[in-house]
Amino acid sequence: MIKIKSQEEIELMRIAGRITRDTLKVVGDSIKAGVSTKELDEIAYNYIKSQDATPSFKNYCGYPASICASVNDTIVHGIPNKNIVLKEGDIISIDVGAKYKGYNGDAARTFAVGKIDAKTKKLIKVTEQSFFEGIKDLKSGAFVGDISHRVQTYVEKNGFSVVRELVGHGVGKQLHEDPMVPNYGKAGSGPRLNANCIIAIEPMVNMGEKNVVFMPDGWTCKTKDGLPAAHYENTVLITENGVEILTL
Amino acid sequence: MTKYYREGAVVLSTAGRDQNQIFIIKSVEGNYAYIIDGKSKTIENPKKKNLKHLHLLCKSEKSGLDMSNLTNAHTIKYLKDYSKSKE
Repeated sequence: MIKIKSQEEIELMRIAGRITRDTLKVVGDSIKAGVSTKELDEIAYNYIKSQDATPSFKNYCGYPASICASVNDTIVHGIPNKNIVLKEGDIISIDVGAKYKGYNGDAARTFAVGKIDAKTKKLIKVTEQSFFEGIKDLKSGAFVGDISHRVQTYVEKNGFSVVRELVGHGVGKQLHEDPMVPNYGKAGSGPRLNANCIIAIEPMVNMGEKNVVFMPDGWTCKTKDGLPAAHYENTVLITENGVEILTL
Repeated sequence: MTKYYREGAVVLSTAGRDQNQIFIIKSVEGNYAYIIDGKSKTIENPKKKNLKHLHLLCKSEKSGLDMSNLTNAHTIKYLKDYSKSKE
């Protein structure tokens, strides 16, 4: 069931969204060659705690960290590790959530480590833009499939592919609520989105084929062909006349 | 954090008392899936099972199941038809 948030809940989610956004900024500013993903996780943890919030991901279904740090061919859910050290030319997707007074914000960005090649740069740009294509004309009464279709069409038009096995979701008191928000599908399909529902829209885009593999840790998801992938996500409030992006 | 899209997938149990029986995944939490067959494992009372003890037979996007409107009766019929189609 898709939960409709009260004004009080929306206000708390605005704050959770702001903390999430700022955490991404702080972590993003620390990304450079030589830094380990574990160090980035500690930076995120300390910042979130300093804002009187808690990391939404830590211990969620057993997840051991505050961020997902997914490097190059890791699409999502890369577990921070002191042995994963960034190097020039890498890309890294940081996914983070902050819980404030019981309500979650959820967002992700893909960052370049130093100089990257033109195709990878395009991958990051297309992934980000596909989110904005997805929310174009989005307002109360739209179907989830409208978002899915727009994201898929834009990504595939640019020669990349969207991941099927992982999807966006409703967000609120729970990190994962209804509905599921796939990045592929038909316009006009799926549940309707009404005003004051809040969803996380998160295109995951592979440079090569759409196929993925899951690692034995039960979390890490990589591209099957070993080519890079990018991730971009925001928590979005649906309103009568449009949307409000809570993590931007 | 991304949600695994496995709800609606058809799976085969590979361990435990329900070994070799097929189920539909109702939901997933971390490494565990809540599975249903519409009879002993119903939508109201699904079985929690480790994902490593499930073998994927049909992905969510291929099964065509509308999980928001799925009933126990529909689950039984779907799994029966699915088994027949594979005979």
